[in-house]
Amino acid sequence: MQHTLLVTGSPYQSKACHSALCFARAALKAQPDSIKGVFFYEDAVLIGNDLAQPPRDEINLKQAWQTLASEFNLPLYLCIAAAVRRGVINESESKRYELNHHSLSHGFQLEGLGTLVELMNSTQKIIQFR
Amino acid sequence: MKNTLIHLTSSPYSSLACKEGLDLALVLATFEQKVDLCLSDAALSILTISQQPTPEQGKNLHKLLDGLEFYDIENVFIESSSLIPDSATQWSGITSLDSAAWSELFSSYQQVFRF
Amino acid sequence: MTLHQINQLSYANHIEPLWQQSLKQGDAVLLIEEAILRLTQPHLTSMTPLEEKHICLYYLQRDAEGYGVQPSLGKALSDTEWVELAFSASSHISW
Repeated sequence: MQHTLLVTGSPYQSKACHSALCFARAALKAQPDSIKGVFFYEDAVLIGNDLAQPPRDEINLKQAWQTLASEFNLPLYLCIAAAVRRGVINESESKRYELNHHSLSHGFQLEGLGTLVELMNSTQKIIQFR
Repeated sequence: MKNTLIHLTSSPYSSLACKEGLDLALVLATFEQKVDLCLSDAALSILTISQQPTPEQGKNLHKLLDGLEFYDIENVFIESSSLIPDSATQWSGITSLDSAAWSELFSSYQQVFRF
Repeated sequence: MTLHQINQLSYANHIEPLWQQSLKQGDAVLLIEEAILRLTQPHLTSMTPLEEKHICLYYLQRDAEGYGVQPSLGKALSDTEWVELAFSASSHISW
């Protein structure tokens, strides 16, 4: 039975994104399809900002999520409303708001909260990191 | 279908947490999921009538309360000792629980999300 | 079994007594992140009532090593065991 991860804590003000990463890594290593998707909400959507650059001697959390996602084909969803208001914007939202830039990093996708509801109803339970 | 409790604890005007928690509750209800709300700590202030937040403070979340019934969100729980009910100054749609029922609440849902 | 995930040394206002009161016999508590410090003095006394309630107490080995603490209470979990515990719980609350 698959599970869903919901991450709501900021990558800068909490350890939610770090803890969820360790959990997801261990879960997927034990069973590659044990997590159906990871949904980032509230300040956790800042994980998908392509422009953020951590100092070189610190963990690159965004990159670590991208590596894990590509290795296990794990969907990483960012709540579109939460992301857009925080400046994490994909190409189509950039056009819609008539902006010159987009900032969503590869491996992440913007989705509505309806996607979280779908995950909720198709997996055993949601494990939240806040 | 899973039943969900959304627990609001943050002040409506100190961060986006309260608003984003309410947004999640409304989306769950829109997708016909069973969802109840409960309020404690600074989030209780959302119940006060006659709120007039400035744009800097945030959106008036109190205004959303009257619309909850249209989303079939029927239960907004509080712990009775946390608030003295006063229909003249507070939204009247709340259900007060004694301390035992309040702490029992959190084990009666398949999912509890706190904001 | 509900797994209660605790990630802070102390929660604000009413949340601290609330999570403890909501524990039911057979539930489990998992301390993650800075909550590992609950297993050090002088915070340890707040965790001892869990034993009386027959609540299993867990912490992550990675946190104990990271913070350099050697807890005398609770059971250490590897990341793999953490996943097994979380997946086997009937529900999961992150306080």
